[in-house]
Amino acid sequence: MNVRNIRLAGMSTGIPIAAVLLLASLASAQTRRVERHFTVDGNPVVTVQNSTGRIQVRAWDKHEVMISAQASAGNPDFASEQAGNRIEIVTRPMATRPGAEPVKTEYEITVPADTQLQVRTDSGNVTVDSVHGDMSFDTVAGDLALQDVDGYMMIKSIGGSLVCTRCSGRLDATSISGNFQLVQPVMDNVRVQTSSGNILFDGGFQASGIYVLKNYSGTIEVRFSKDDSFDVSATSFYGNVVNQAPITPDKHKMRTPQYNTGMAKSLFGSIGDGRAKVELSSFSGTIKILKRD
Amino acid sequence: MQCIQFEQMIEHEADGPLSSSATLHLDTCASCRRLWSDISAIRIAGQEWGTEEIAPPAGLWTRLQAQMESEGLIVSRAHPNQLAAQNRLAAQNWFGSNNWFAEWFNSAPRLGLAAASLSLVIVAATLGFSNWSLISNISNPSAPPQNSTNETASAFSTDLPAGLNARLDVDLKRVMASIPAQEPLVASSLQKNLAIVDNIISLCEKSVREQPNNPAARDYLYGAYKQKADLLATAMDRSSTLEDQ
Repeated sequence: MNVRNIRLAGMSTGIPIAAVLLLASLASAQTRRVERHFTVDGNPVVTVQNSTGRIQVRAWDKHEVMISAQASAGNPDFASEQAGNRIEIVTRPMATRPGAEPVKTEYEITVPADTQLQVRTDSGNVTVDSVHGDMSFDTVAGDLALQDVDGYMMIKSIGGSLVCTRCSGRLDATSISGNFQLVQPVMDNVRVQTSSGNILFDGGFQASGIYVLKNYSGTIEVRFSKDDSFDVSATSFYGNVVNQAPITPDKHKMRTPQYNTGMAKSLFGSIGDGRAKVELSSFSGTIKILKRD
Repeated sequence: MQCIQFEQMIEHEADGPLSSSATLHLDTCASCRRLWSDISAIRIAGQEWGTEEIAPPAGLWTRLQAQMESEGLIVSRAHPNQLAAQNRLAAQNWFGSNNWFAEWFNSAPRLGLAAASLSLVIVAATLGFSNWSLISNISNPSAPPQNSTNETASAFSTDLPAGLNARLDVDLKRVMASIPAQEPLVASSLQKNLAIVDNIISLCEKSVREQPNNPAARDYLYGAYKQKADLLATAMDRSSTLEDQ
């Protein structure tokens, strides 16, 4: 057998092997969606732990929690457990070859509207739509998008951002580098802190509401309308305060913080009757109080 | 009662009232009186600060304790002399050998884990600056109370626990190294945000030095340190979770 024949023989046995390998890899690449259903009565508490991969939660009008899971490779491997109205979902880590992409598990979870949520993720993004229960989120790099939610929202993130659209209730959120955007909020208690991120509050201030927005750098932007009524305290230690509001001297004679030393730029006063209380503070960022279009 | 018995008593019943024999001993022993005064002041301060948002997350101390034990800095049960030596070492490692807390810690070597756990509160409280004169008085009980802002501010340069930031860095490095390579997003996010917080701490420290009388500058520095502590807690939490997996 000459060299050419050896090569041909090698190819003839190699082709079926390659085909088998190809089929095997295609089979492993196929992913299957797994659904689980849990009947509940009353307001359920749903806890989700998923390291990577998106989590989508939306409300429906059934007394049932439906979990639909899909992994980026193979079958999703997760544990789900029901104890009364408490449902816990935990993704099991899947072993991967060194250097290979980690397997992500994505969830679509449908819950009754009055569900309490507890979500913990490292890098998976989370979206919640139309859920009206208290919720807490713990992320490292995952971003959050909340829409039409209502309740007490607690958010702790390292680098994740938040976009909250038409959110109601109360918000307590911290991040180091994440941005916070509150669009059309109807919230009466907002405490938001980020280190290097931007903060946008574009919505009405509720009477008796308290709004505390703080960062170290970045921009804090608050948009007001002519009907808004709030006392405002805005201080940037090394940055600037830009104001378009018709601020009058504080009607409630609040004590002025002694931040006016050094280079700090401050603004204190009332807009309207000063019904809500707005505290804006930044270390070196810019604070903007702007008219809403 | 002897000094050693007094120390043993407060090690086991640091929160309880003093017995009559302990009270009698305090009347005659200046060293133990100072020690008791320090512990009482720290306990009160810890309770006050404990009401603020500085509580470490559940399990933090357990993991920290396990880590310190694995490094031989502390032991759960050991001969008193061995324990004393290890506690001294732990105190020096955590707070540096030339500061008030290390001196206090060395003066009460048998307080063991109880004092070490209290140290977590003290670290946070020291960074809180909200009761700075108390901290300063603990460092020097014979000094007159510091009431003026200038005196309070001057304490910053001398009493801030030396090397605290460096210690946090060492712990963070160790914790981050334990995050598996399969979690690059977690590790890179933590690293990126650590750099941000470090930069902010640096700016805030500069600010405090430039405006030592400004409480806002100290508030910002406190907030920055708190963020770093939170980052460490998250990194430890994620590290242990990943290990469990």
